Amino acid sequence: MSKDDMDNKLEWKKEYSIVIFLNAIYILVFYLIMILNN
Amino acid sequence: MALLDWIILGSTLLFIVAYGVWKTRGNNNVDDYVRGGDNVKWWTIGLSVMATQASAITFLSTPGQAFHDGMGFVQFYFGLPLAMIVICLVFIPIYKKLKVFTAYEMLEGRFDLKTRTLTALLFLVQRGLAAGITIFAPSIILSAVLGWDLKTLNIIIGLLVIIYTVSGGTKAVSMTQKQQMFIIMLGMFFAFFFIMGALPTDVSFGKALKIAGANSKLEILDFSLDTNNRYTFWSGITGGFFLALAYFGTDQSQVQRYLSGRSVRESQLALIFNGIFKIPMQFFILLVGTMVFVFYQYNSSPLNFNPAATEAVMQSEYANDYKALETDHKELEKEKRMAQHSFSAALELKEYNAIEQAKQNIVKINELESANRETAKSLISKADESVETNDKDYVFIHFILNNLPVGLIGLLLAVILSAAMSSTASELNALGTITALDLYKRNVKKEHGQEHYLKATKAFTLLWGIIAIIIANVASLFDNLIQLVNIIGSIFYGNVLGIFLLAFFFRFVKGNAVFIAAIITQIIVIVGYNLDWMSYLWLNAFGCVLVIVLASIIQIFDNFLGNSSPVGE
Repeated sequence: MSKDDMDNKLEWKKEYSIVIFLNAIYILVFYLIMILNN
Repeated sequence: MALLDWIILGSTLLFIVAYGVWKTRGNNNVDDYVRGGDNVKWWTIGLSVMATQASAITFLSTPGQAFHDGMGFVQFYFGLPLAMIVICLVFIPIYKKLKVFTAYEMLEGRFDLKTRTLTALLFLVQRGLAAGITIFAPSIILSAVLGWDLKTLNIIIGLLVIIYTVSGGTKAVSMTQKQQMFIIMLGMFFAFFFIMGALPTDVSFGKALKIAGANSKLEILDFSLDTNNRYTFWSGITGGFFLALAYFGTDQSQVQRYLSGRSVRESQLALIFNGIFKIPMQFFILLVGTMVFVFYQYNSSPLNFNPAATEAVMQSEYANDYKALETDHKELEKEKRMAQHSFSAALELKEYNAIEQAKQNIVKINELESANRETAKSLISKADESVETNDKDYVFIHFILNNLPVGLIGLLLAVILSAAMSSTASELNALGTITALDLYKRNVKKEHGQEHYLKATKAFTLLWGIIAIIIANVASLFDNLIQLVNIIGSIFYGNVLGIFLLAFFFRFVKGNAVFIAAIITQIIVIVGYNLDWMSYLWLNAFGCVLVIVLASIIQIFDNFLGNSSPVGE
């Protein structure tokens, strides 16, 4: 195996942004559930 | 159990086994067997990844966790989506580019054979023990509550998994896990809607949440920096990220799932699927547990949910003390029911002073009830030290067996056994593959045809299946075997993750430096654990950082002395 085989151009895809966005929304929803019911 | 439950349970499990064998008949080369022919679709892989992680204990223990401690456990998964993104960005493209069969194969190309063999051995020790426990953990609970023979149950679960895993390999594991996830989610949804239907008519879902909130079960997020709290937002984001990166990125039982994708994109989409749905799934399982808690606000519950614990104390000199506690418990339950009704009525009328007063009353009763449960636990421990007093694993199964209708009980038991089978299948699949390809093929025999290695992989998968059943059958001889497996995981995982991160990100570090650093790290981590330097949960991060630092220092020192060896020696 050469050094080139380990080369990997990090390519950001829109799906990764969706993962972050949705999980941020989940946490916000959890926060709302928590404060609205305590 | 009623005949209908047996029919549902038996037919579900037999269908899954038969489906796995039938769909993968005719696998005749190592690529088909180990990587599923590289043509598994992303949603199948995504479900397979989720099913591998979700063992039977997830469905037995998580609702019990919510019942006792609330829903804060969901924070443990907050680092997982970030880990999925890192694996999609870095790990998958390289694994796919190198067309590896196992995660450790990449390490031979990047470092050397001895580093590959070392990490493969670390995996086998850890995952081999875990496979036995994946079978044992649900068996011990089901045998306690249903009176089934523990050893027979271990053998049945093990044999069912062996049949389709040995016969169909990775594709059979992925195909059956799709069915298993369907059964699991169907069963959990049915359970949830049954609980909602079983609550008093004036208790809507919104009101049930209010009741859970009044009882401190909805403290989902904890932003404190208190290290004594195991589950906080920060420990979930950091510790959870490390753990998920190590588990999904370097554990062959997971890597093998997404290596079966037909392209880099399919494999990435599978992990994105996991990154999107994992937290809602865990939240939903915890929500089921919270609703079980609300259900028991209006229905009678035992003082301790583990029947073996209750039996032990009732046959001891502490039986009368325990009966007195049970009487107190019943009185408290009556008071609690009245308090919940007052709270519910106050909510209806929106009388805020009455709501606050009812809330305080509920908190007071719950404190008394918790104190009662703790006293019961100490009595049980005095009666028999070997009995498990922590009953969180028994809460949900107690609810299932005593409250669900005929038919649904069989379905929920199928959920639990399906979860046990799906995790065990991935583990055996990975153990057989690693033993055949990383150890046998590379270190013992060389120059054989495809058919030989296919047979070897099947034989090693069968062997690991038998070993897992044996471990499950002797597990009860050891007091804290489950904890031991978690500790062994933490001791090895960090080191292995560190080796992979060195491979990806520290190009100047070479094979000899990594191998020496990994050996030293492993010794230091084991010594550190024995001398109690830190909680074993932090050994992951410690081992990971240590191996990276040591390997870098050794490499710099080696370069300075002019003894560097070429990459990929």
